[in-house]
Amino acid sequence: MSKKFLKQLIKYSYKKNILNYENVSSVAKLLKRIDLKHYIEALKKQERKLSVFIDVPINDVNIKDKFRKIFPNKKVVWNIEPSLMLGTRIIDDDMLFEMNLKNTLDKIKDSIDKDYD
Amino acid sequence: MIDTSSIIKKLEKRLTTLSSDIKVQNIGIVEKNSDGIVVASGLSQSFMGEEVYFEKGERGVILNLDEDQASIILLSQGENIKEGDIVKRRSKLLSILASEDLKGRVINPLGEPLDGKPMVQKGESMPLERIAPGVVEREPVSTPLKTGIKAIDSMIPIGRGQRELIIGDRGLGKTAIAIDAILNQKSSKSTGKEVICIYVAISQKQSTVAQIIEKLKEKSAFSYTIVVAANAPDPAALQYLAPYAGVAIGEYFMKKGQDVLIVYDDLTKHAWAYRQISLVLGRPAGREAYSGDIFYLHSRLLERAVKLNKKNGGGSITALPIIETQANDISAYIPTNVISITDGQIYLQPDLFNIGVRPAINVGSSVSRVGGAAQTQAMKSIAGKLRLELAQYRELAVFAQFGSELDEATLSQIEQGKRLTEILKQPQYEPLSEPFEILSIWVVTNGFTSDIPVESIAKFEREYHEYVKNRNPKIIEAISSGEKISEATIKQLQKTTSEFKKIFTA
Repeated sequence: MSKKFLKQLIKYSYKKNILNYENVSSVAKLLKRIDLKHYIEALKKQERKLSVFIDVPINDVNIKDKFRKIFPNKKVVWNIEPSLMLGTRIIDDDMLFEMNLKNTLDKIKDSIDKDYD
Repeated sequence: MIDTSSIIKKLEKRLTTLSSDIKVQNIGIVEKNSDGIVVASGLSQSFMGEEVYFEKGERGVILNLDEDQASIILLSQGENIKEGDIVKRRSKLLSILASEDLKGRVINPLGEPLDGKPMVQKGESMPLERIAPGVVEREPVSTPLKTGIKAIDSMIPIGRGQRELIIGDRGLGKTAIAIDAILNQKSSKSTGKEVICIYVAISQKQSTVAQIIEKLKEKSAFSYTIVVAANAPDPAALQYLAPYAGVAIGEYFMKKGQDVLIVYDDLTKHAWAYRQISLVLGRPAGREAYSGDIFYLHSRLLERAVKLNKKNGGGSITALPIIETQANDISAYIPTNVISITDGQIYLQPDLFNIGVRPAINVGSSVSRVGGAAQTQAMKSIAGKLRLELAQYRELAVFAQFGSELDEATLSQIEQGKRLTEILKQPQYEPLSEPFEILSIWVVTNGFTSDIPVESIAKFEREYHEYVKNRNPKIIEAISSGEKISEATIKQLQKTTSEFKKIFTA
């Protein structure tokens, strides 16, 4: 199966950025084992692209609402990560945004390590 | 050293910018981890040769960039890396910290110490991959790099900035020649223009590397030598990177105007490591299963051996790559590649080794394409005769094998050839300085040894050196200048040699 064809199948599997069960089933029925494997891999990748992974230190409904507004077209996957120490970490496709105290403290530590002779 | 108030000020500055302190990074997600290669999706902003790191601290280098994924070679064991792990970019090419502190150290291609001493923390970051200096920055090879081996310095001279291949089967003394060349650079230390030596061990047995280090220490050559080792148990990625790390360190010293001698031991195993990586990466296999860019792999490495012109500091990197042949086959893929890249080769022959000619250099098949220009006038004046007489001897020796009767002139030429072959023999780890090399060759080419039995030549040479050194040191001084040997010196030499012969034959 060519990459181009696989992309077409993935496009067909989604309706308004939501995975469509009927379309996926119809595609899956027609595929050979090896092609099905590649199809699943591609679906996983696409899901990751359409999702945004947000790590927050506490479970706060207000914060969650704010983030949902920032990413209206994406599925938000939440993870509670107390080690972040204030702030948040967002993974959107292959971009990582970090804004937290731990990161700042790490940067200060690096800066001191570099400057301190 | 920064004081307390500066630290606090820096912290306060950090505090004011705390809210805007957002770290944005392009990342990848691990999809596959097999045989030292990790395939990751994402990393859309990464570039070839970029260093990356994993969550648990493992490091890697990007070696393949596809439409939606990147292949990363691991620089350490990667059993802990699993599917779904995050891989982050360092946004820089893989580099090594180079400084004066590296002298007398044993490190791996990442700069990590292998000698139990602390890691070198300060220095200039030198990228492992770099475009070689262009023609404008270079100048022709003109200064000799003396190896201390009579056969090489006289007939296959090496110049600073040259790439001279050492090629031969296993166990013929390829490494020994390279180590002798390193040992001989001790003399350059006393002249003020120290030659920094870098020994790159690629997929060598750890015991062999340990032995070499011990020998260098024993001969006081370790203080100006750096050993970069990616030994047999190390990942193929490290073995692939080792020569590039070595030359990156060499470039640091070259930039400072110093001369560097770098030994790649050996490039056959380097090609094997690269073949392994290429096959696991899924690159199409070509001749002998090597990937198509195997020639470029070595040419871009050896092109970095260079003699810079005065405007660019005048430093140089001389490369001695080693190639191990199988069953004496120099027409195999990798040997022919490297032969064509280098400026000459020193060919070691098993037959010579077996009859006791050591170093087992076949002077007929060995060549130095640019080194002649770097030879001193003194050496040049005696080397021409040596080469001619040896060539004649080789030709006549073939006829002599038939056992037919030979005339007196032919017999004397054969006898002379035997003595020349004998004088070119040299024990391992005993490089000679140029004046003594010249003395040895001069005394034989001028017929002073015609009545000395072949088996006594080695003893004759040893005692002759001692005699001249003690009785007439002015001759050594005169030859040391490197200029053409004057008539007066030749007369003195003839007189001293005749005196010595009387004592020796008595």
